[in-house]
Amino acid sequence: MQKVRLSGIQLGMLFVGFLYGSSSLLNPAFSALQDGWLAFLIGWMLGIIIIAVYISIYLLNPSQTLIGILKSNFGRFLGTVIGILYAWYFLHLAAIVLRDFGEFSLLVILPNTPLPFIIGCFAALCVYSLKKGIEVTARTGELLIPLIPLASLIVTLGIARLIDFSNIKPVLANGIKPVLTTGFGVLSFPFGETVCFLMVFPLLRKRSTLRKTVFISTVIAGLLLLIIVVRDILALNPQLTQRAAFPAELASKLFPVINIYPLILLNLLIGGTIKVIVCLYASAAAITELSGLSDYKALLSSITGFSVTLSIWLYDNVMQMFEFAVSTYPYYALPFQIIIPVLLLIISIIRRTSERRKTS
Amino acid sequence: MNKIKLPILAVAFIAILFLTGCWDNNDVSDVAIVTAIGIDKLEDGRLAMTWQILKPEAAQPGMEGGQAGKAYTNYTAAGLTLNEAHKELIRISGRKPFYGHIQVILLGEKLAKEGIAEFIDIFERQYEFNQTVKVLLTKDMTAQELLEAESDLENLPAIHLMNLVEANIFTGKVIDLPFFKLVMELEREGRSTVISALSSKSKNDKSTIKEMQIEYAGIFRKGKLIGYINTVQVQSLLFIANQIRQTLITTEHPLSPDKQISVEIVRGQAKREVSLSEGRIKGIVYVDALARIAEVHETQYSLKPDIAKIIESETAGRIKQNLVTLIDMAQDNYGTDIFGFGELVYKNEYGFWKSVKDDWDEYFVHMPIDVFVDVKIKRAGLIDKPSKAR
Repeated sequence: MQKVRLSGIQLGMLFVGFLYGSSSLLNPAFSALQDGWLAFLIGWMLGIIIIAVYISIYLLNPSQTLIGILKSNFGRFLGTVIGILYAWYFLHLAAIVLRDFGEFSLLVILPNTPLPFIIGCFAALCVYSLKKGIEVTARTGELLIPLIPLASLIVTLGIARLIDFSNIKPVLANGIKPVLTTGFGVLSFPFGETVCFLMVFPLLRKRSTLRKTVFISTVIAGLLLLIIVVRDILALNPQLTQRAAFPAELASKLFPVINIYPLILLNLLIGGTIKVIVCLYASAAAITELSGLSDYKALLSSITGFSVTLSIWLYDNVMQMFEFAVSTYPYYALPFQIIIPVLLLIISIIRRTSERRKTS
Repeated sequence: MNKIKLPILAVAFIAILFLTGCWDNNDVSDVAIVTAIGIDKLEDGRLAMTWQILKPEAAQPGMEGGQAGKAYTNYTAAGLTLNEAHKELIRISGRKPFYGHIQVILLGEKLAKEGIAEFIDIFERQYEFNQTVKVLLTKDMTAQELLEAESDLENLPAIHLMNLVEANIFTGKVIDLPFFKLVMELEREGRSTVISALSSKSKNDKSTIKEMQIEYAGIFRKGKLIGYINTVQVQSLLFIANQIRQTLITTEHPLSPDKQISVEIVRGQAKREVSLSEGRIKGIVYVDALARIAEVHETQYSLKPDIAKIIESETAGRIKQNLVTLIDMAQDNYGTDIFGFGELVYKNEYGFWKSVKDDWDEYFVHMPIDVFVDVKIKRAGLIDKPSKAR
């Protein structure tokens, strides 16, 4: 089989699309009200740190995927167990994202269509794209991701007349605690979710460009999200943003004269599909490596089918979905996004230093 | 090659059957295109919803049947919630509504008095409602009665009503309140909402919109209507709220008090401030207006710079007098903060706000508010003095 290789810019685009995808619909920092921008900045900074941890893990264990790294650092048995958990997490993440998009479509554009059908169509697209190989997705991303900031820029300019800068006051009215809690939420969604990319990093053609590529794309995606967070606070006012199920949808409704749903849908379809594809790829590649198969493509249909089913089983209703996203998800994701990677980093550094000592 | 082509062709043909998008289509002739919604509270506590439905056949002039009658028809139904009324309306009209073209939402007076906050929920919750619809009150009549009024100017009374609001940019005497702004204002800390109200000139004749006028605006405290202010006061309110685009001030000519002079404000810039000193909040309003002289009846004096100065200060004095009257009225008669000083306190002096937020209106009543008005006359039209009959 011919080896898949991604260029730096392709990986960067995937990264931006992944971070921007569903966060643009769900304004990750809404629960801190007028301090959302601060919460987002905190989450963003923590996100850059945690992404630096992921990069360091990979650079200390070059050319290995997350599963390989886990096995070589935690030992064969424990590594496999944690690897299975990660495969589950990626699958679950794909299901969560699929459900988010399904619910959005159901609520806003396709109110009479059954949810499984919407999610099934999304998933079919993802499987098709992945069957052609992750590099096809990456190349498509190269073309399409630049449209996302354009779309959100148009929406932002359209409602610029509503911007009232005094809406960010009073600063820290309820103290720093809700801001930190929300900042932690921003860390887990979307920045911490890039742990998926530990399965993708080995595909990069030149390892030397990894640090720069990922750093720049994190900054770009962060800036784009910051614009959205600040826009929602200034133009929609914090209370409305907090009550709205999808602030981006509300923002598009306030656009003067014309209906610009299509631009919001552009974000949804490009960013969301990229995110689901990366999650599905990470899960499929993890299972492939764990079970010693040669090609992830054989597993794709079954994995996707499972995640579609899971996404429908996940919640009974939308209220549960929002409740889970706000209060459960950050803690559920904590071991996958922070605890295990930090442990991995520490073990890798210790091993590296002891190996050096042995050789010298 | 042929082996691949056949399945692809088969899939394409099957797709044609299923992807035509016809399975849940809504033809224009099957939906009720709602152009205005009126909401009333009935005596028994139920909510009545009135649709003004466009009749597409009748709305096209020149088409056969174009002259046949009114281009719209009204339906009213009641229910415990607005959704119930909505379903009831579908039942009696036999048509599925299309809400995308609503021009105005009218709130009946009784509903307004008992509180509007809960009943606007449906417009936020259901995805099909446009958030930029204008909101108006009806005074001394129900929204249903108002929607029955015909328009002699437009095919659809709803369009006429919307135009009445949009003309505000020229008159500065109507509050142009889109639905989402109403929601924002209701939710703001320390601010009471004001909504323009339509009323009938005469008690008995309510048959055409010509007989209606936006003469008042209703003041709301905690979402409940507590009283009305008139158009001059609305003008002053808009001055303070920095929403004046164009408006007219008429005063006596300063040098010959029996003659009138009209000054058109072409741009009004206002700033509200609150300052906290010695544990007391003081409000300050600055109004800066650019103006041009629009009409002079006085034939004796040329519009020399020094005369213009006097007219400027006279106009500023008149505006200030209006503003002070409105502020006194809000403090003494209604006892509620329609200017949003409370919001400024909330935003700028949060520590102090926490101590007064539960009874801000009581605090507002005794709050000193300073008003500074500055008018600059830039132009005076094409002539100097009016022509004089000799």
